[in-house]
Amino acid sequence: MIRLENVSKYYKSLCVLKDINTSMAKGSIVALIGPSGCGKSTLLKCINGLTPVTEGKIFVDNVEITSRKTDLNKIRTEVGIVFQQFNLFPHLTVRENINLAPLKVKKMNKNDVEIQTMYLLEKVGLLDKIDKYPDQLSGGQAQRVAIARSLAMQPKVMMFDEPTSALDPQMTQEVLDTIKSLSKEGMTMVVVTHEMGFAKEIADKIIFLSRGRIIEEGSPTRIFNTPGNEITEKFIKSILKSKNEILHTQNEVG
Amino acid sequence: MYEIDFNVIADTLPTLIKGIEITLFISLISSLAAFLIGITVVFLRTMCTTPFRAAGTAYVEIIRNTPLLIQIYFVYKALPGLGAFLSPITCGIIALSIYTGAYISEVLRSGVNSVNIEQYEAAKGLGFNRLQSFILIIFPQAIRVVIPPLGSQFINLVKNSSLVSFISVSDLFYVIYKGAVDDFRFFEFFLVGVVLYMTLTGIIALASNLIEKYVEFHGKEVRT
Repeated sequence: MIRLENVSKYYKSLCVLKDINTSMAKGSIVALIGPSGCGKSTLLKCINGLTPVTEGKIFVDNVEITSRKTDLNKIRTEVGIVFQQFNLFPHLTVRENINLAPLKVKKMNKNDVEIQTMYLLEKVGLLDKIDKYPDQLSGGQAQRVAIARSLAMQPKVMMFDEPTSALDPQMTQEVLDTIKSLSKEGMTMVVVTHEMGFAKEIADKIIFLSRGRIIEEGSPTRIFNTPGNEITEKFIKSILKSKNEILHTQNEVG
Repeated sequence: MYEIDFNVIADTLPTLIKGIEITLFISLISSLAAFLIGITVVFLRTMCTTPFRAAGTAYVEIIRNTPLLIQIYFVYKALPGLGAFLSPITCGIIALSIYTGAYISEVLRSGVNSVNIEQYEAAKGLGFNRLQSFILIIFPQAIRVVIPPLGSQFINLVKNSSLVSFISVSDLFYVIYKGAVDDFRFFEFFLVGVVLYMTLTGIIALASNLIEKYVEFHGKEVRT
């Protein structure tokens, strides 16, 4: 479904991604993990052409998106992206946020769009918020609307860029549940996340990035239980440790 | 001792009304044209490639760094030399639109710059092209924050329209000036001028305040 060949990305002389070679199968769920600033988000943005790559090729559904001839706007309708900060359009209601792209970009019929929007909102459990403005939603609700908005374009791939990093634990769960329910429907997904438990649970494949390089990739069980590299091991330990500390303090307070 | 006598105004009422009509006409058409110019230029300067940006910047800098009166005369006196013969009113409208358009584009640009960069990414990520992103997503957010300065630009336009009297358009200022000079009734006529111009601009100020409240209500409702 997605294939990357020798992808590198530089911002002037700063190397953000270096020689990325990997592939993501149709219907699979790939989790990108790694320390902050390692290039995870940049990689996602390269895959739907939001950021141009410096070198290398990216194929989505056998179309080379890094070619100059490719219509990037079309690719972006096929690869949906959900951002850390939700990025809903604040001047539009929930309904308009979800309707807008199918109507204007895909030129879908208005009735079909309305029906689809209701269906999607029902799916993320927010049908009652249809006429609210983004300001009136909680973080978790806003993120679920953002997911519905992306799904409205009927993408072949969904990408999530740290979808829960701006949320508190309770809201995190509702967003993760929404993503999980999508995974059951066979959607191809790429998720950048710091939620290791979540990555372990839903991912078919984990890619560990550090300083713009792929250090390791493989099944969750292998990466988490027998990491083949000490950087990976250190990272996973430190994340799990900080998680445990949080749980510990919560228990003490409780 | 000078005796104030407002009866002279009554005698020139028909010409005064005619003057108001012309000022209103020029202001309305120029406002619309200037607004369209402003939107186009801000689109070029914020969403397009370098040559378009440069062209937009050049336009703004040339226009706002030269006196409006020169621009009015330029259109009125220089264009006929190039073969374009236009009525004085048309020349006035063209000059005022081009002049105010530059200022409006600057006001709108500050609004566009205030829109979060992530909104562009979100729009792009959904497949909107540049024009669609601008019209549907960026511009509606940008204009909300610049309504007060935008209102000031339209007010300025109405006041600046008095300069077209220099190219023999009988607008409100021209009528007042002529009345004053003909009868030596400077106090009465200019006082009436002040009141009339204030009425016209006051309407814009009021409208601007109402629009500001209206969009605020729709953008930021109280949480329920």
